[in-house]
Amino acid sequence: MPVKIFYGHVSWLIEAGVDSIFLPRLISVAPKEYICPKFMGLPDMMAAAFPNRARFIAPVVNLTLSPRLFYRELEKVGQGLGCTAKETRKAWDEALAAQKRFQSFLQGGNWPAEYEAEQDRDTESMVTRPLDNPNLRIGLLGHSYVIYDKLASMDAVSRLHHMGAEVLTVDMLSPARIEAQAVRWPKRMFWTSGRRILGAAWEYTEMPVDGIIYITAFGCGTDSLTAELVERTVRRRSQIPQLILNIDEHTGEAGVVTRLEAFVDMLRWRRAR
Amino acid sequence: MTSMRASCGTQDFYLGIDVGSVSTNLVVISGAGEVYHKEYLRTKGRPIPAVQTGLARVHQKFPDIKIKGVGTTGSGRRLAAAIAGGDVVKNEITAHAAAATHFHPDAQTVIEIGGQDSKIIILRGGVVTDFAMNTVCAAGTGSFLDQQAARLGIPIAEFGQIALQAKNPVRIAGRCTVFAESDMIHKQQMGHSVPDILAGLCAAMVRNYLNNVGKGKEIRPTVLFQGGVAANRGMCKALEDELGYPVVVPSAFDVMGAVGAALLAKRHIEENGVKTSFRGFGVSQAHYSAGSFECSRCANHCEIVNISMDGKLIARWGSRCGLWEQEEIAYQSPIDHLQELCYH
Repeated sequence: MPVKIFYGHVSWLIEAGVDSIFLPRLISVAPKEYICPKFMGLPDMMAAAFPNRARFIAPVVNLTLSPRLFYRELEKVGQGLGCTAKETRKAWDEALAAQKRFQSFLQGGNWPAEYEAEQDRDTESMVTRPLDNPNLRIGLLGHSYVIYDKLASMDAVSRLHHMGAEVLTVDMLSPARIEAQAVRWPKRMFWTSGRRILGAAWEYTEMPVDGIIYITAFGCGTDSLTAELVERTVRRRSQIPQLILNIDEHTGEAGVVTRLEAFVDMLRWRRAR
Repeated sequence: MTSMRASCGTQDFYLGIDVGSVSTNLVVISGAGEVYHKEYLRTKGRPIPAVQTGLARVHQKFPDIKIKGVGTTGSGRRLAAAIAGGDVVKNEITAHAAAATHFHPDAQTVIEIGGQDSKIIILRGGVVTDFAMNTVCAAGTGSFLDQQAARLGIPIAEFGQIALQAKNPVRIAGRCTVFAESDMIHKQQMGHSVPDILAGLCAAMVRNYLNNVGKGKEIRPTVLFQGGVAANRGMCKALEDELGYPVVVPSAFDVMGAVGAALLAKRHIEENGVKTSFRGFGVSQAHYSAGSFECSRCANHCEIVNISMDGKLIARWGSRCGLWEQEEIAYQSPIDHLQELCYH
């Protein structure tokens, strides 16, 4: 489903008159780790769906290979845009710094849309905040393109905020803690996102959270394993209730709303006893 | 019962409305928490007239009844609350659990199979500790039993009795109802008797339920079996055979959601000492209309629904950004006071 949404985004960009789309071919962003194979195919899928409508700038990002090869890919992108190797390196350094700023902003307990609002005073933040004095704390798991997408996740985060819950995401945890927890798994998880989710799940079990919610897109290959592992580990290691929320292409919200409401009721009910 | 009815003019009553995909149930409970009256209607794809008819029937039977509070539940709970004036709008899980623990405080498991959904609720010490609902697939719910009974020309009410006459229940693939149907047809053409096939179907549905909805859940007695399908004796027997011990079918099994909603409304009214938002039985005569339009302010194209009563807008929902809900209408969205309605 997220791939289908991606088609929509690209279509929207093209209709808006964009002629070049930056769409890196993500294979690996850390040594000995991989990104979901669907990302690898995105540039091809888009080129096939929108032939001759836009140019896709698709450098290969594969950090399991030598960094030298990666920089060569970057230089090729720069050349295509008429930049010297030096200018490209400078742009890359700036991009990395911006990414770091963004990540530390999220670690401060913030949401991506709030970053936009902070950078540009004209943009109004569309992010809801929990009601005053939230009395529940929920650890959220799931891929960023699912949990931060209001449409895909049926706005689960705002709904939880409305119900008076504070919501934590994987991005709000310290990367060092996630990594420390992830290496405790007996077998190495080689998907970057899955590895972070597993690490975060383990971290949540050692934190004061009332419940854990895992939002997963129907048909997601990596989640089919990760969600199962998370469910078993959390159950083995803690008493924390968990909810696995499967989202699909239904526009009907009843199923999602009922589950979220019932889960929050359950957490409060348990706590009152 | 008769003496209670005679005095109903002075007593306090609470109304529970459960608008489900297949049935719409209305329940009146007494101030003591007893089921006083129930109405079971088919939704027939038109929830608004179903709620209105239900209200009219209650009013006709008890013209003097005083309703102190209204609770709504089911997938049409917001709609029902807008029409009748709901004090509590609760999801089905919490409503069913509230009703189950009210009548059977020792219950540890609630198995609920309705028209198009099925759920399991795990209770420990009267508190919900885990729950699950069926996902996209409606296999193994009442609708399929309805459909198969119709195919065999058996009234659904007799389905269970016929299944109980089985001598050698046949094995039917219950994973998917499409396969189950072709398997049933195969068995029938091989010459197996109808009772054996129906009993086999019940067993297959129970296996499907326990493997999908009940997957990984610790099912412990006392097990309550509720929802419309609990009326089917064949299903009860198949469930008991599979679990190895008896299950309890509560007396109000088919309207437990509505009972739970009424109980939660009662608790809300009593604890907070507030007045009900019930619009009165007159709403059964009011003219409701529901209209929708597609908002084109952004790329999401949300479908906005307007509910009007006698030409006046009373509720509106459907936008993802909340824009339309805020505009022009002073109707407080039920979700806003969810926190205060929490079960405790």
